[in-house]
Amino acid sequence: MSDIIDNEELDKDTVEAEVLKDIFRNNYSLLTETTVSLKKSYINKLHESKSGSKIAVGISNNNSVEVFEITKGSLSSVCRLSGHQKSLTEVVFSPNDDQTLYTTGHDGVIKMWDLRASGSCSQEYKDDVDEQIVRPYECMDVSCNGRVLCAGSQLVQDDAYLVFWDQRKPTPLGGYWNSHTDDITQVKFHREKTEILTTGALDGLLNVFNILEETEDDALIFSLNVENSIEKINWLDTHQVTCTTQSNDLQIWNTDSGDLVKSYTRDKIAKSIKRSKGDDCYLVDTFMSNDNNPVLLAGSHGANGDVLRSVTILEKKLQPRSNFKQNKQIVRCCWYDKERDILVTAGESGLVSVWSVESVQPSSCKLTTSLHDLRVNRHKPY
Amino acid sequence: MSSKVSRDTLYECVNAVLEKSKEKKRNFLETVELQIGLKNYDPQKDKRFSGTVKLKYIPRPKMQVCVLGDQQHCDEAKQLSVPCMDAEALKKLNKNKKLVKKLAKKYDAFLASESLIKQIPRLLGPGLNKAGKFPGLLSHQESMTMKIDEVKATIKFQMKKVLCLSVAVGHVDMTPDELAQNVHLSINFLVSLLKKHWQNVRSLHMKSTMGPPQRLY
Repeated sequence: MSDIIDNEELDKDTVEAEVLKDIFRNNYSLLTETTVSLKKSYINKLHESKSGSKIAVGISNNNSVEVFEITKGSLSSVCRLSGHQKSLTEVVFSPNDDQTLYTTGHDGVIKMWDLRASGSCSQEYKDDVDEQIVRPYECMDVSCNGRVLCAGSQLVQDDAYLVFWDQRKPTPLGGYWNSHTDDITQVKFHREKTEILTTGALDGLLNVFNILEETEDDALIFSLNVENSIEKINWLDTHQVTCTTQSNDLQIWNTDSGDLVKSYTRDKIAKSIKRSKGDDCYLVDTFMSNDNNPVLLAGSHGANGDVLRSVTILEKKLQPRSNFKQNKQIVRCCWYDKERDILVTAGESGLVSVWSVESVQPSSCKLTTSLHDLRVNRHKPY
Repeated sequence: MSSKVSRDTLYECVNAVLEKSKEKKRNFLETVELQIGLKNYDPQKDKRFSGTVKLKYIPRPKMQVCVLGDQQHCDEAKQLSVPCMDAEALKKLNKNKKLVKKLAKKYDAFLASESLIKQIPRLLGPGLNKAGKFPGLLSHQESMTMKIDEVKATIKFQMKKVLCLSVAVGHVDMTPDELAQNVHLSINFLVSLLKKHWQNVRSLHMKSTMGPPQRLY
């Protein structure tokens, strides 16, 4: 047996730049970019409003939310919302309008904000346990008709809670606490059926509930064993969810039959985005593209941490799709607008970037001229 | 390529742990754990990480695994004298919370056949979830004994809200070689999970349940 060594090999492209350009064909260019703060701050949550005109980002260093308006090619700040006492963990727009926003955090409160009233908090939803116990919420979601709110808590005194509210009342409707044994990291309502809810937790289970049933025992339809802590869940269509894990693997499950449809390891994903070191690969999220294929956005921590690429999840393989060459940060979250073919990313440098499809241009021709210019200049250094 | 933990240091620590436990025999089999201190990591901001890895040698030999099987798996389990239950037996529990809890307490882990695993919430309710023992999948393509050994040999790394974590990697009845190999594998896997790899590692210690810690890094 050998020494335990530090593998200092740098993460790099596995193919030449030319080939890279050739295989990542569907290219996006940076439309606009803005930073949320001059101080070093992470953005870990991003959500887009119903019509796609507004985006909200959660900022980590001061637990506030910044709302931007996306107009053609520019981002303008609408307002900044602050009020959470501890870490902010989720930002969600109401599915009914562009003006209502929900946020939650480790202070155990869900706040509803009205953007028309210059961003004042119009409602607070709290748990009705005694004052001593605070259940820090890791995640929340709103049902597709906007009526039911659900938040998932950390493990408190051996119970991890899913708490439900009627959107009109500050006191909870009830909760489930038997289905997870560790911090609940994701709750996601079905996009069309109001009663279907999936939840994911650090215990490695992805649960599917029908919340119309009276008791938790009957509500639990499936427990899908991901066997690894869940980072993000996303509904691809009416019966499939993708799930990314904390060890950067990707799984796709069918929620009607309870079957594992596909699973990809970190190494395989690194290979598909043409990077050499699997240990440096990270996953951002999945979304449905405008040509109705599931797409995975992934990047690399290695080198400058600015590698960001996407792959199409096909029947048998991961097909290279886009290379985001102008990316400058490690991306934590993204939102894709199918109608306008616009992708919004945000991440660890506090940048919000808006990407749109690149019009095909004879770039190779341009390159040769610039090289030529360079050579001419060299002859006359003074 | 720089060496972080040399082969000699690793064996020194392994031997020290094993010797210390021999000096004072305990009435139980001491577990050996790896303790990891982290740095340059902000649990508030940075992504938390976790991962599972299968070790070469089983760290917890006493672990009891129960098979919740279809006909074929139950027959196989009986031949191998592995505890097993079929759908009928599970139905008899009738979602009774006490009985499910008792079942969950009796074993350390569960494996279930493909046809059965989907019915578990229907048959038992969330009882196994609550115990943190929801079964893993046992397919007909893989050997049952190998799968059971895999469950026993798999360990999970998980960082909580603090900058340290520990994980059981072996026990004191292992040979130095076996223990060293498990430690080697665990450290390499852990480092692969960290965002900045070795730059995130502050310290590595190993210790037996009752013995003093030995510093690896």
